[in-house]
Amino acid sequence: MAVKKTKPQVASKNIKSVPQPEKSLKDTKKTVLNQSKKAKKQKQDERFSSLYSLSEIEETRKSILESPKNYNKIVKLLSNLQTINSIIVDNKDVNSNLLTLSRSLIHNLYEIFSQFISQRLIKVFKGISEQEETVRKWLASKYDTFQNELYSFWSIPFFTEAIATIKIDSLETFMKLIKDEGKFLGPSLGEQYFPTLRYRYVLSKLLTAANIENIDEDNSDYVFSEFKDNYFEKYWDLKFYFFSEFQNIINEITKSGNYHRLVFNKLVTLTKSSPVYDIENKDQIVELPLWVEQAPQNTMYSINNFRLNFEKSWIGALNLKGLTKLEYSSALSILHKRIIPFFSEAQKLMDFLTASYTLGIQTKDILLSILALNGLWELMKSYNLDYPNFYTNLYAILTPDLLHLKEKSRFFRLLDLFMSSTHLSASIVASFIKRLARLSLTAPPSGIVCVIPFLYNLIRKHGHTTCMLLIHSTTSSEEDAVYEDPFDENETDPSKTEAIGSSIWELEAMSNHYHPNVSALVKIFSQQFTKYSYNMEDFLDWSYTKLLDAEMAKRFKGDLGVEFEKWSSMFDEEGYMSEYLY
Amino acid sequence: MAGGAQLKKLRESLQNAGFTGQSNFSKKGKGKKKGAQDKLAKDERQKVLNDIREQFNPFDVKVTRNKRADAIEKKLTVGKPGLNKQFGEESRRREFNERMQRKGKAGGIIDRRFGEGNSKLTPEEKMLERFTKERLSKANKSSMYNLDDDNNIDFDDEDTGLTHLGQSLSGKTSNNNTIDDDDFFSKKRNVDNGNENENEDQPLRKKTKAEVMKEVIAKSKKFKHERQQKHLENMEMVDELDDDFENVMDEISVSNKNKNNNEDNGKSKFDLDYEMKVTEAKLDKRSKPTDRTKTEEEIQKEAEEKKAEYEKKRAQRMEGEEEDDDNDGNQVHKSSGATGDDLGDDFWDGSGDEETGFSVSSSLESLSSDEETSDASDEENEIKNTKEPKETTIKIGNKTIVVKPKVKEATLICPKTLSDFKNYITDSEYEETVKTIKKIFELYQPKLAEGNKERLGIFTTVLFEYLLELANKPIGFEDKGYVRIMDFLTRTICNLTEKYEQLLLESYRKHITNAHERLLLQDPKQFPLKSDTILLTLVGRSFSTSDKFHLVVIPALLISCEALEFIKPEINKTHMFFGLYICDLLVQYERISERIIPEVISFIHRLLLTTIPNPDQIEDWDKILICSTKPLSTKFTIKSPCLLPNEIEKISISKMWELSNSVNLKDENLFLNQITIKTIKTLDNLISKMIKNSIASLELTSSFIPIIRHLIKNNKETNSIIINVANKLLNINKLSIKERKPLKLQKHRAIGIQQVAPRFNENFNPDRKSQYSVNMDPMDPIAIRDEISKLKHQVKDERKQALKELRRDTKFEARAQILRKKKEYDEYHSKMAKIYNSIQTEEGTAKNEYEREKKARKNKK
Repeated sequence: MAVKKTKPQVASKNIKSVPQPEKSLKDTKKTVLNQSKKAKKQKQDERFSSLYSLSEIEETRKSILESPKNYNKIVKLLSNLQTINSIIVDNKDVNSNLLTLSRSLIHNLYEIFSQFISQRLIKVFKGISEQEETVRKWLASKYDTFQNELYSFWSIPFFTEAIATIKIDSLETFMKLIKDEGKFLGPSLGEQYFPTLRYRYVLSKLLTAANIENIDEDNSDYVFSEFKDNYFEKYWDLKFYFFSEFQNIINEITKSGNYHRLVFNKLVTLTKSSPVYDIENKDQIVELPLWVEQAPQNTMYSINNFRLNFEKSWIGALNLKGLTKLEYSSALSILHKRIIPFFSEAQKLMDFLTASYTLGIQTKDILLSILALNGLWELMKSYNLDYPNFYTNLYAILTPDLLHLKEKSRFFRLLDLFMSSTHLSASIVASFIKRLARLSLTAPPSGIVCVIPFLYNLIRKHGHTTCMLLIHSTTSSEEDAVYEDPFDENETDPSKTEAIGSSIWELEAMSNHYHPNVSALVKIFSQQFTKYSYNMEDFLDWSYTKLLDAEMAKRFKGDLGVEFEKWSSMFDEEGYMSEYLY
Repeated sequence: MAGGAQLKKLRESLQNAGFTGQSNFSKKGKGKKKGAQDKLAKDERQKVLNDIREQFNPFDVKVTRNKRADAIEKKLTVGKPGLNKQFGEESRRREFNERMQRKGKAGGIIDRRFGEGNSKLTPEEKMLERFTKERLSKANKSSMYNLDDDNNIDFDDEDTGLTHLGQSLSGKTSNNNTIDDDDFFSKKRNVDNGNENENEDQPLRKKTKAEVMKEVIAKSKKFKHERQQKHLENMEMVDELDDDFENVMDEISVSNKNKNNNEDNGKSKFDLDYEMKVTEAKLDKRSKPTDRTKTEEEIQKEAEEKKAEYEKKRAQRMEGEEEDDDNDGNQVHKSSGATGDDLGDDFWDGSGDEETGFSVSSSLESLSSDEETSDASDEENEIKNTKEPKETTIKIGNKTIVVKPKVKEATLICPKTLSDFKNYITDSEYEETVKTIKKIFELYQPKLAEGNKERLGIFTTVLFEYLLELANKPIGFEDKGYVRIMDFLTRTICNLTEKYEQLLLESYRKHITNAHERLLLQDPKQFPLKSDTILLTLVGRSFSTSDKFHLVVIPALLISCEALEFIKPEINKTHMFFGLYICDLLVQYERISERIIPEVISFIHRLLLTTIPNPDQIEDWDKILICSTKPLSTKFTIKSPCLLPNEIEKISISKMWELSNSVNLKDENLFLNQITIKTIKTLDNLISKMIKNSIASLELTSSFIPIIRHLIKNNKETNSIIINVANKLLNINKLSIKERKPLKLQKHRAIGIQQVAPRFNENFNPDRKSQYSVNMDPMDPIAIRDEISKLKHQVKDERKQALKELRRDTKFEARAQILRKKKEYDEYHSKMAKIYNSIQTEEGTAKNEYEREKKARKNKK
């Protein structure tokens, strides 16, 4: 309770410091609307006057809890809440007065209903008088109204800190109500019970409440991130029932046809940041804290149950319609680490993965393929998935875009793994080498820097006599005179490109690269192959920023090469850039 | 007097350290608090004392100076040769004295019996000889003039007689238990005895010795002190004389002047003129043969030589080699006439006129071009300036110093920040701004005051900022004043780059980092800006962009390439133009080094594919390096058939910038046409600078050929520029197919695999610390060799040390011996003198007596 009391104070303090944009907003409004605005203002004033003051709210609550005669006052309180909601929607902001008022209103209403719940007044069951039943039914309907009012706060589309406070307050109230319900509203007192229906309802509101426009921005939905940080990740029961209820929510959504992208994104957000449970110590879940103490232990601590639910949730989510490439790639990027290990049958993802992989290759949208490759490899490795023409498809990923992508390091890590197979024929390896060298002709330095040590390792690994031919041909000078490059760049099958008869002139050309480090690195091909292998990790994550930082960190040693040629001006004739003007 | 000063100083420093004066007073109060604290205090005290001592004997300490160690501020090795010598001397003396005391008394057994070593003598003869010797010695003792009366001879004791079987024949030395060889004297016993004897009278003697030493030291110190005093006195006298000398000279000169004045008055005008001429001739630099005016040819030759040298340096840097030795570097600097040292003298003078008052004097090209570009308005300025009445000109030889009168500009303070600078100028009044800048440079010439150089350096960075700010203004080449100020600023900054390398490096870095940060925001309003083009162009103009390593050029290249990588010509026209400009600029950067920049190649591709008509109809699109799918038409695809201009005018950056932001369809078409044809032109440059000589020219040309071919097909008229490029591409392509040879990068001599024999050591003990020598493998030749050489070295070292020590010892001994000999002689002579004296007195008395007797007898007679 102490926590509860301090919290609003802190929040209201924050809000005071926020400048109120109310006035400025009004100023910008068109003058035509002035009159209607005035009318509105009057209306608003009326609405304000209809609100209770803080002390009145307090008193009302006391009187309601004192005797059932005063139950009717709940209606008044609820209508107050509604008024506040409409005021907020109109003004697009809350001033501090209204904020404290609404917060106390929510709090007091919660107190009232929590009291009812603890007295099991809301539940209707057999063996009570008819009169009692009508009272209870009436109370239950008021309870629903209260919740609906709270939901309506979530749907306010504006953002200020005050509104955010109210939204988060209502989330808190919901969660507390769930806790109370779990405690008192079970079939009989003391029995294990989790209010799944209530939870599902809250979840479906939570998942669908947000602006569809700022889907793509991270952390734009603060209510949801609050839920994730303070409830979902902390309490095992909430997590467990999330996935068991999520399937139902998905069903509902599929029927209604809205919110697909939103819900999917939120699911990704929930699973992205950390594994749903520690896969190494499965038993530890028993030690995780519970939100509803009475939650049924048997179902909840069954890992198989959880995995099944998780799997169903995800498959349901992936089957949602209207998802864009963005959603798919966000799911694909976390698939192998955060999703596949928690599936009970990972093979179910097989078709999804292979489809995305080949789709990426066919449309030359290799980002999709690269992302899918990780999951695919996971399946091949752990679930014995057979994938035909693996290397041909891998070869197809080597498009000019590859070295420009941020995800290239991810791909190179995998490629390193795939190319380490000793059963690869030299012609395949040579094709990869030649293709990568060709790509480096238009690549940024970070890409070239990846390619060089990778190729070195490949040549080193696959024998001096075979792939070495790409950098050192053994032909005689007479043969060289009539030499013709046999490499077929349009061949898609890496074993038929004849790359082994070619040379990587492209990389050799990079020895004249503008960046001194790159050109120095290329020289390793003309030196003795004495190094066993390069550690790829040192080269994968370079970027312009890193290169620039390294360059900026160099100290001035007293001599800058200054141009000795002098131009009389920057542009125009005799200028440095003679073909331009200011 | 001076000695007194020294003493005074000593006293003072002691007092300062708190050793003299009332130090005892406080100690009395704290009598009980002694102990560890006291000891600490004592240590402290000793330390301070030592310090003071050192302070007064500055030559006792010798420091080995090491250039390198000095530079890295390592602890210097401090030696005290005097002290060390003294310690060595003392220890040697101690040893020597000890030895001398023991001499003849201890150590070893010396048989001194007569004839023992002589095998020719028969036992009877030996006995006889010994007997006579004994008798003789006894007889000698009684002799009055016997000098050898010390106990060198064995029979120092009257009781010591003959012995037999180690027992005294007289039966007195029964305490001697030696059962060894009978006839030997046990020296040990002797030593013991001797020591006992000595101990009795030792204290007195020893004390005197110490005292003697002290006295000697005191005496020498006194002498030294006296000598110093004398010297100081001398010095003082000299000083006094010097003072007087000045006075004397003053008087002499005054009188001389008076005389001269008188003489001057008497001189005719002719004489005066003559003297003037003479002095002028003296001052005239022409009189020196080295400073004669160089002929045109010579100047040209010199310039050429200089240029060749610069080019050599540039080539070296291009290869990433370090520059030559310091000497060489200095030479270059000297020749450039632009080092910090001579900044104040030649640099500013050489460019006396206002226009180039801040350009590098020696760079003739810049000087001449500066003059050429000066506008008419500027010339007017100059005329005005020269017409100013108070201006005085001093001519010395071929040098001209213009002294301008100080006007109100004195209030101009060298600006340190951009806002400071802006207080002096008004926007848009560019001519005035140029004047203000010139004034500042003039007022703060480095030769005028200390610190001016730094101030101007900071001012230059301020100008740099101002330039970039100006660059962002939507003004173009039409505004003459704008062009002039931009040219002026860029030229100033370029020329001063060499001077303020570090300051400008920092500011370049700042601006580049700033651009990079703006780029990362991915906001088209923040990047690219026009100032970015100016910044990067300025980098190219001021620095040698062909260098392999360069603190400014490489970052500039990196952000240019980053920009090319991230900007989107497909959807943004400003990006299009900016990217194209950067490509052009980078090609210009690499005009000498001809390095390959993949980003540029990629960007030119992208640009062409964005604008060319009907990109989906390109044949052989799969040959294009950046295409993985068939290129599609974009927002800016030019409608087919297009009509690209046949000629390229000079492109104005500001105009293109304006056009790129216009939504007007006509403007857009104009813009796109311009961009496309300019891209082709850039491609032309690219081919000749990067592609032609690249080993991958085949791939690169065959990537461009489909695009150009397609363009020719879609252009209405034959366009000479495009045809030209197409021909070039085809030629190079053909040539590179012909010249294509497989790579042979591994043409090394085969290297043998290093052979390493495993070492098995049976008595290997991991606990032993020095395993090397103990567990050394006898089969490992390298280890053995190492060990041997180590030992050899050790032996050599030891030997050297030992020899040194031995030499010192012998030297000391020789000295000691000489001293002893001298002493002995002195003693002997004094003794003899005494004896003579006594004899003489005896003789004298006898003579007197005789005389008296004689007189008496005479009288009797």
